Amino acid sequence: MLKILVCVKQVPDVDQMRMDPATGNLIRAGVPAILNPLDANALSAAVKVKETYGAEITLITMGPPNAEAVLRECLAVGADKAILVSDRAFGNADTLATSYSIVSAAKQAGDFDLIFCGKETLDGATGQMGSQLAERFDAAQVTSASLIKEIDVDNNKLVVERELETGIETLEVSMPCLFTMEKTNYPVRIPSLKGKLAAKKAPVVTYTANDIPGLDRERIGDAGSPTKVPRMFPPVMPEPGVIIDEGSVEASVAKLFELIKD
Amino acid sequence: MDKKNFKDMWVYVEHDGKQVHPVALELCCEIRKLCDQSGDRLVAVIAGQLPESEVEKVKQCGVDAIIAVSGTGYERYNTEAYTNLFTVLCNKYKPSAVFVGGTVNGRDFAPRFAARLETGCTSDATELIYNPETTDIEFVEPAAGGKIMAVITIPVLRPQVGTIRPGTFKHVPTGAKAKVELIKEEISFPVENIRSRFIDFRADAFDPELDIASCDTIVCVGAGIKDEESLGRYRELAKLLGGKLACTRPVVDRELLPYKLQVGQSGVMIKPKLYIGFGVSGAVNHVTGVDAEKFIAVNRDPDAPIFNYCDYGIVGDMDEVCDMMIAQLKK
Amino acid sequence: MFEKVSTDVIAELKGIFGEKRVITGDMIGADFAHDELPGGAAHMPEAVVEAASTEEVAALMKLCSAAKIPVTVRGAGTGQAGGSVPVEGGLVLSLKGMDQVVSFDEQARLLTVQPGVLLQDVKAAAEEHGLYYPPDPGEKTATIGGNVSTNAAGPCALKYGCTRDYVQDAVIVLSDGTVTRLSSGEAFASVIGSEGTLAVITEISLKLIEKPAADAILLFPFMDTESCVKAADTIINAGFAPAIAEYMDTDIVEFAGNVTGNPVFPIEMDGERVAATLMVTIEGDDDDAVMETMEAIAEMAEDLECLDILVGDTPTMKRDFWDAHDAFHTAMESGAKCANEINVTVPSQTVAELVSFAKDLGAEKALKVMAYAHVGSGGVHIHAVSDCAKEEFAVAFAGFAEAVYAKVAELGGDIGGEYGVGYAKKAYLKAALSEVDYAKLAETKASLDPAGILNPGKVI
Repeated sequence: MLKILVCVKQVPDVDQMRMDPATGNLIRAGVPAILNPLDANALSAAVKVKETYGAEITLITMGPPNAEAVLRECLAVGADKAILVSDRAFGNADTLATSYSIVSAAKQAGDFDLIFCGKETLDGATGQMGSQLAERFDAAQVTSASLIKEIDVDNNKLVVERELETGIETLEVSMPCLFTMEKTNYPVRIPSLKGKLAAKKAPVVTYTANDIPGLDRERIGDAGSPTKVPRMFPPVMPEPGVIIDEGSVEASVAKLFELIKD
Repeated sequence: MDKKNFKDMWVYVEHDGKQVHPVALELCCEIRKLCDQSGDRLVAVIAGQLPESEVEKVKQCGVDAIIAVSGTGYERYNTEAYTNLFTVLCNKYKPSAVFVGGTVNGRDFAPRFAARLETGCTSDATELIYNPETTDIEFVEPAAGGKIMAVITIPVLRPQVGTIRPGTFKHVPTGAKAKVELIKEEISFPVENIRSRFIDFRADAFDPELDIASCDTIVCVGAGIKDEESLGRYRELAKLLGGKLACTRPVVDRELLPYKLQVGQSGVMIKPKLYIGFGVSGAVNHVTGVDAEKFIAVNRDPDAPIFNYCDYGIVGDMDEVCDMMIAQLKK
Repeated sequence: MFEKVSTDVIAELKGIFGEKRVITGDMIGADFAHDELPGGAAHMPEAVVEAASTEEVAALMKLCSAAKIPVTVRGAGTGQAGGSVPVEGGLVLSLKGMDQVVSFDEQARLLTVQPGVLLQDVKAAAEEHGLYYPPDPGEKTATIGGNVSTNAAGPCALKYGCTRDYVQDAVIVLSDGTVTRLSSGEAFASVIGSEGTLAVITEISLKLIEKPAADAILLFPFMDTESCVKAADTIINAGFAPAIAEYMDTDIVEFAGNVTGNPVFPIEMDGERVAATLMVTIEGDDDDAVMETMEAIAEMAEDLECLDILVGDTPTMKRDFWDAHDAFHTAMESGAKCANEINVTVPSQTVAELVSFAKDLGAEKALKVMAYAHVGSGGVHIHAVSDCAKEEFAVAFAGFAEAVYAKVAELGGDIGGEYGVGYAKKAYLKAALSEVDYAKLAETKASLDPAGILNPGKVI
C-alpha cells in the first residue's frame, strides 16, 4: 500500500492582521489560526490518491501544541494518523532548519512514497519548503503540481501535471516523489460529521526534540537557521497623493480626467 | 566558514535555448549596482546552448565574467541537473551570492541547492541593500501579507541565495565591460539520474486579456469589489481606456478573477502608464508590484494606505465613481 | 395632484441645504433613477438633496408638504423592489451622507446611528464593543436606514428575529416636518418596515446582544426537497435552537457554482444527484458545547433521512460556505442572459410546496427556476433565469410572478418578503392581503401622511 505524507502548517489569517499604528508592530492577538489554505488542497489531492489506489495518509506539522487543531481538521477528511513536531527548541526556525526538523521527525514514522505540501504558505509565502523537504527526503520533486494523472504502483512511477507560466507540463516521475500543490484540481473537502467525530479520537503523536534520536541540535531552531531577520519596519508611507473632491462624483471625475488627460 | 573567502555575485541566466528570460537581465542590472559597492565581480551563469546575440544582451548588463556550462542534462529544465550544477559550481568557485529569477523553475531548484549546500535562501525580495559593515546583503521584503517589511540577512554562511520575481527590477543595461572573462565548464549530469521525464507541454491558449504585464493601462479592482456581478463595469472601463482589468490577491482568493490577473509581489509585476485602483486597500505586497507613471486610487475609506501611493485619489463609492468615469468617457 | 419642483422651490432648498447639496438637471447621477431591481424602469427625480441632519429633513418636509412635492427617501440604493425609486418624480432625499455613529451606551448596549451608516459598519461597530448585531439580509453595503424601512431579516431571523426586534427607538420626521422620538406604540411599529411611505427616520438606536462564543455549520444533503424542509423543522423542534436553517436547491448551487467556479455545496453524492441541501448553524458557549450538539444531531441522522452530514467549523470553511451562499444572489445575472427574482415569506411547512409549484410552473414557461429559503422564518428566494430574448423573458416572468404571488397568498404567506413591496409588488398586494388588513394599511398611510407626498406609488 502506498504510504503518503502530507505536510501542513497552522498559519495566522494574515488578512485579519492589523498593525499597531503607534508601535509599528503587528497585532497578533485575536487573529485566528487557520490551516494554510493550499495545504487543504494538497490534502485533497492525497485523499483522492488514497481513494483511487489505496494508501495510508500520515500528516505532519511543526508548531505550537495548539497546532493539533489543524491536524484534527485534516484527520476529519481522510488522513489516518498525525505527527505534531512541537518543542520550543524548534522555534524561530527558517525553512532550512524546519525542513531538517520535519524530515528527521517523519523518518521516525517510516518511509513515504508520496509527499504532499501546499505550494506556499499564507504567512511566509517563500514557497521553499517543498524543495528543501524533497532534498532531505532524497525524493524527486514536482513543484506547482496541478494534477496527479496516473500512478503505476508496481513500477514505482507516476504521471503528473505541473503549471508553468505559459502552460501545463506533463512529467513522468519516479517515487518517492514530493509535490507542492496548486489548488486547481483539488477543491477543499468538507469533512463529514462522522469523520469529525472519528478525528477527535484519532492518534496524534507529539515529537519533542528529545523524541528524535540522533537529532543534531545545531541544525534546528534559531541555531540551525542561516537566515536571520535583524529588523522589521512598517512600510514607509510616501506622502499622500492629491485627493480630488469637487463636491460631487461627477465633478471630481471630470477634474481627474482633466488632470490626467494627456 | 570565513565569508571573506567567498567572492563574486552570480546571476543564473534562465533561457529556453533561443532567448534569455527577461528576469535574468533585470537581475544582472540590479546586481551590477551591488557589486559596484561591494567590489565583487558580477558573474552570469549560463548552462546549455544559447545564441551569441543573446549572450551579448547579458554582457550589455555589465557582467565581469560568464561561466558557460556545457554537458548533458540541461536541454530541458529538470530539478536534478540544475541542483547538481549549482552545488558543484558553488563548491568550486565559492561565490558570495547567487541570484535566481523567481520563475516557476527558478523557484523549484534554488531552495534545493541551497539546502544541499546547507546555506540560507530568501525569496521575493523587493529591494537589495549591500551593507559594507557586515558585508552581507540585506534582502528587504514585505511580510505577513504586506503589512510589515522584513529585512532578511544570511550573516554567517555563504553563498547567500535569493530568488527574485520577474519585473521586480528594471532592465537598464549600462553597457558591456571592456573585458568579459569567459569561463568554460563541462559538468555533465547523467540523464538516467534525472528522476522526472518530460512527456508533454500544452501551452495555455494565449488570452490577451490575461497578459497584463506589458499593458499601458490597468484598471485594478481590490477587496472592496462587491461581487461577480459588479465586475462588469470595470471590464467596460478598462475597455474604454484601451487597457485591461487586473486585481489584488483577495479578489483571486474569492475566485472572482484568475490568478494570472493578480498584481503584486506574489503575482504579476506591472509597469503601466496609467493605473486606476478601485477598492484597493494598498497592501505593500500589492503596491510594490505597481510601477505606474500615473497612479489613481478610488476608495471609500479616506485613510486607506493606497492614497499614500497615488498621484490622485477620489474618496467615494468605487462603483459609483467607475460608472461616472464610463459615462464621461462615452461623452 | 403633485406639483413640479419649481425654481422657487429649488431656491428654498438651497437655502436649507446650501448650493452643493441640492443637485438638479444633468448633474443628477443616473443611479438615482433606479435601485437593484432587475429590469426596473428608470425614473429620474427632478432634484436630489443630500441631508446632513434631522433639522434639515424637518425643514425639507415642511417645505414639500406645503408645496405638494413628492419625497422619496434613499439610502445606498441596494433595494430589490424599487422602494427608493421616485416613480412620481419630485425629490429624492438621500440620507447616505448621514453616516455617523452617534453614540454607544455600554450599560444598555445601545448603539445609536444615523440612517446612512452601512450595515457592515453597524456590524463592525458592534464587534468593536465585543457585541453583535444579528440581522443580515446579505447585502452588507445597504444602509441601516434601508434595513429599518424594509424590516430586513435574512437567514438568522430564525433565532434572532428581524430588524424590528433591534430598534429600541428612532427619531422620525413626519410628512409635515414634525420631529418626534418614538420607542413604542402603533406609529412606531408601523413606521418600521413602511418603506419610507409614512415618515423619514433620521436616527436609530439599536439593541446589541452578546455574540455566541462558538458556532459550526452543518450541511445535510437530501434526495428530495420535502425531506430537506421537513428536516429543518425536525431540528428546530428538537430544541437545538439553530441560528440558521437554510434550504438550498441543488439547481441554484450548481448554477452559482458554474459562475464562480466552485459550488462548495454537494451536487452529487455516491453518484446520485442531491436534490437539496440544508445548511444549519448551531451555536454554543464553547467548542465543546457545539460538538455536543453536533453529536446529538448525528444521532438523529437516520430519522432525518439525509444522505450524510457535513461540517464546517473552521473560519475558512465557514467563510467559503457563506461566499458560496452569497453567490446564489450575485451569480444570477452573469450566469444567464435574463434573470429575475421573487422574494416572499410563507409559513415554514409550505416552503417545499411553494418551491415545487414554482419549479413546475417555470418548466411550463421555459424558465429555469431555482430557489433557496430561510426555513423557520419562511423567507423564500425564487430565481428565474433564461437565455431567451429580454422582451420574451419579461412576459414569461410577469405571468410566472403573478401565479406565484397568488400561490403565496393561498398558502397564507406575505408577498413583501424581505425586500419589501416597493413598486414591483404593489399590484399584487391587494390580492395578497385580507380586506381588513389592506384597509388598515391605507388608514395608517392617510393618518401619518395625509398629503401622500412620502414615497408615492409604493406599497399601496
